[in-house]
Amino acid sequence: MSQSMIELRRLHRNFGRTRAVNDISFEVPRGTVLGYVGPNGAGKTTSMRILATLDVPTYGDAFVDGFSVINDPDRVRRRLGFMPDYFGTYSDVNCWEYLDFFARAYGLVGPERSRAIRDVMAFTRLDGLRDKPIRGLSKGMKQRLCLGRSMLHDPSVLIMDEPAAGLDPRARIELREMIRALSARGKTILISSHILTELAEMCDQVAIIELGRLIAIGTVQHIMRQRSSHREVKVRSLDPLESLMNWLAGKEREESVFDLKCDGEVVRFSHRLSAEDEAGILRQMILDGIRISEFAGHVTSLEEVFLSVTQGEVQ
Amino acid sequence: MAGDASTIGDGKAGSGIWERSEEWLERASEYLNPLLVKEARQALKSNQFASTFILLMTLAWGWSFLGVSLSEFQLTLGPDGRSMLFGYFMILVVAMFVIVPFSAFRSLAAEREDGTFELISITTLSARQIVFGKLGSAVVQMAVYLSALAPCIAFTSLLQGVDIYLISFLLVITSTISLIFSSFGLMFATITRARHWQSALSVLLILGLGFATLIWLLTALNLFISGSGFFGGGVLEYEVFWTSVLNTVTVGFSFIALFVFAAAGQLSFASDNRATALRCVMAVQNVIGLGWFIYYWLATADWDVLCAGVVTLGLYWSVAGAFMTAESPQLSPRVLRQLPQSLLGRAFFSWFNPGSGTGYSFAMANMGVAVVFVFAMLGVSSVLGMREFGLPPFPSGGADHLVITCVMVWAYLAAYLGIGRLILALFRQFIYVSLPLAFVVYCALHVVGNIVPYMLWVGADRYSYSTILAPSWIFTVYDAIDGKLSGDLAVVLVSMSGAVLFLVNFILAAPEVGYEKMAVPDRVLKDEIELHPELQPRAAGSPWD
Repeated sequence: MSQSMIELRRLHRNFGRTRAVNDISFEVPRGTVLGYVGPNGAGKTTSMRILATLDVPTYGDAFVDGFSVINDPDRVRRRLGFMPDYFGTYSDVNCWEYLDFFARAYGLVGPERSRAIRDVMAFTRLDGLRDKPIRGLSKGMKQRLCLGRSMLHDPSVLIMDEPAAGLDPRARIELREMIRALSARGKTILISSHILTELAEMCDQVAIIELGRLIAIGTVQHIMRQRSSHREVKVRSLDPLESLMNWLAGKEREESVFDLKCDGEVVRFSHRLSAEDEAGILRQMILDGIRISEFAGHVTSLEEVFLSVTQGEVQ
Repeated sequence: MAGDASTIGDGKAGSGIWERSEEWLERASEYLNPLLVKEARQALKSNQFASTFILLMTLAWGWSFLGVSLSEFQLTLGPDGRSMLFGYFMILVVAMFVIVPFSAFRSLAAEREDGTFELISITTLSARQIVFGKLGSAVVQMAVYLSALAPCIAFTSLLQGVDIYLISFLLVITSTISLIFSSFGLMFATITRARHWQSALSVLLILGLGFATLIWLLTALNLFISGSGFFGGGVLEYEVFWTSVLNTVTVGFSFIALFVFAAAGQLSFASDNRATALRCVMAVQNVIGLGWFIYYWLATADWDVLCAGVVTLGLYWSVAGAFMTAESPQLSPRVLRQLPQSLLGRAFFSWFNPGSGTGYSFAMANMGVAVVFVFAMLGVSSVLGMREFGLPPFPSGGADHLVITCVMVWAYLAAYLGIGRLILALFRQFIYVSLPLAFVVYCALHVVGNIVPYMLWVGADRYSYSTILAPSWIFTVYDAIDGKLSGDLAVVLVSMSGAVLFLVNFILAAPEVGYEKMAVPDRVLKDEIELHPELQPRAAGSPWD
């Protein structure tokens, strides 16, 4: 069995002269949560719709659990739950009726259907709202209901397009917890969002696209290492900062480090050394009697990565 | 699987009659289309349904009071039962011909506008199940309206001038036509997703349904006035009663199937086979149409009935052929997996595969069946004479006009579809050819082919048929039926053009028959075995595979 639950292979999608998706290829291993990041109009929704078998590529193919979205959409649909960037609800039915309809549509019958509905209502914490008409639900509740709908048939892959858009902080936190719980259950999740801090917290990897092209994929640190030729380190000492600055200035003369600066009680410097050589500098500092209380590489945020790799262009 | 009652629904096992009824309904709903269940739930809560139902009831009761008070004691003595029935019938027809089909149209259109259709389409429901679900909900709506008016209509059967046959006749025909309109409404809803076009289509549909309602009411009124002897008694002995009911039902249901499959085709996934089911229905329609014309030919012994049949089928195949020739000649791997492999299978079934060339050949072959049948009957009757077989004799005035009409219809079909197909093939080199585009191309082709020769003909101050009119099928076929084209050059020109274009298109269609069956990937085979372990792989070797 294929280890990649999601695979995009040279995916293209043109709308007239606009190349919404332009030669995107990547794979998502089983059980991974992949954040799909890009500016508006980058091609995220288009490629997600292709994966959800709602659109067909102009060229290339996409696979879910080894099945082609073009040639075996019915098999893909059994394995995939899709949460689009709209609610898609019926206003004149209640929560239970809504879920019951989709459970029937997924071919669940009798006790199996009742169990599936009960499970997703419990998971999405909607069990108290069983008979509540959908028109009376808040945005967050509707979002949970849609998540529940996409999970009814216990899919192994979940595609979520902007699930946190427009939610209040509490609803966002709850959604994040649910996604974490789904990840713990071994689901492979592809999720897009503009709230990068939250994505960074729940995703194992991110894929960044712009102008329909894949710019980078991997963990945030991996992407940053790929994009950046140097690493920034901050050092804090129990001794006066002058001694630390003098010691590092010596290294700067040797051209081991550069961009040395004092930032309040912290000294920062950059280098192009290997991780082993960086550890060597720390060891040397300690051997030379400098009392180090903190020595850390700067942790790059997803926002920083996003800003560094994208140009902000739209088509 | 029905499941145990305690786990179905909300999990409450009730002992009261309502709880038991609910449990029973819940169990029964397992066998129903999910969309039908959902729509029934929605309808029970929708103001639109409740208000329509109340309005219908109010009108029926209003008419009952008005009719009874105006008729005083004439109801039981005079023929006023028909007036009463016609009043109820008017209310019923408006509901069945306008409200039910329009609701079906809006129901599907709204799903597409609101995005809920996308969510349904990625479930395991097929496009066909979705359309059948919507049609089923239209049938339920029809049944509700019928049941609302049933007591009133039943009341009229007790009155003078109305019998159960008249009521049954009207209800069967009205229900069949309502179902045809509903399936047409569903197909209409799949044409576009754009809101502005949906609005335009809504107006068009309402106008069309209103017009159809008017026509049917006038027809029924005529039947009420002139059919007093017919429905007075012994109606079951009239052959025309049975044939008209059978005719409406067979032709009607074939069109329902056509519209349903067309709607399902429009909604299905891009790589699905959208053509084969539709072509099967078309072939059945060809047989039904030809069958009815043969029946009326035998019943009237009039050869012109066959002539009318060929022209009608020619019109049918020119519309059906226009859409078939708009199909892409490229087959998706999904379709290629299902192709027949054997020589026999390919020879017979390749024409049912999607593709413009196979579509063209399919239309021409079906039209050919009708033409060959007429020629065969003419040949047999001229050689054997048919009277001793109880069949109509050879036409006394000769069969020239019949032969020329058949040839002309076939040749025009070959020429117009052939030219249209070549134009679309040219367009396909540069742009995506959609069904609306093909429709526009064919409309333009028919307008140019008929109007331009007519303008030239008028400009040349001619008063009788001239060869200038040869490209125009309307004028040429009209004169051919009238028997005015014997020995005319136009017959030769049209026949030759039709034959040449048929040959060109037939040769160009050859690559579409040459597709090889594609092997099903192992991953798919394994999944199929996991899904349906009870199914054994079919042994190869059937000559039709």
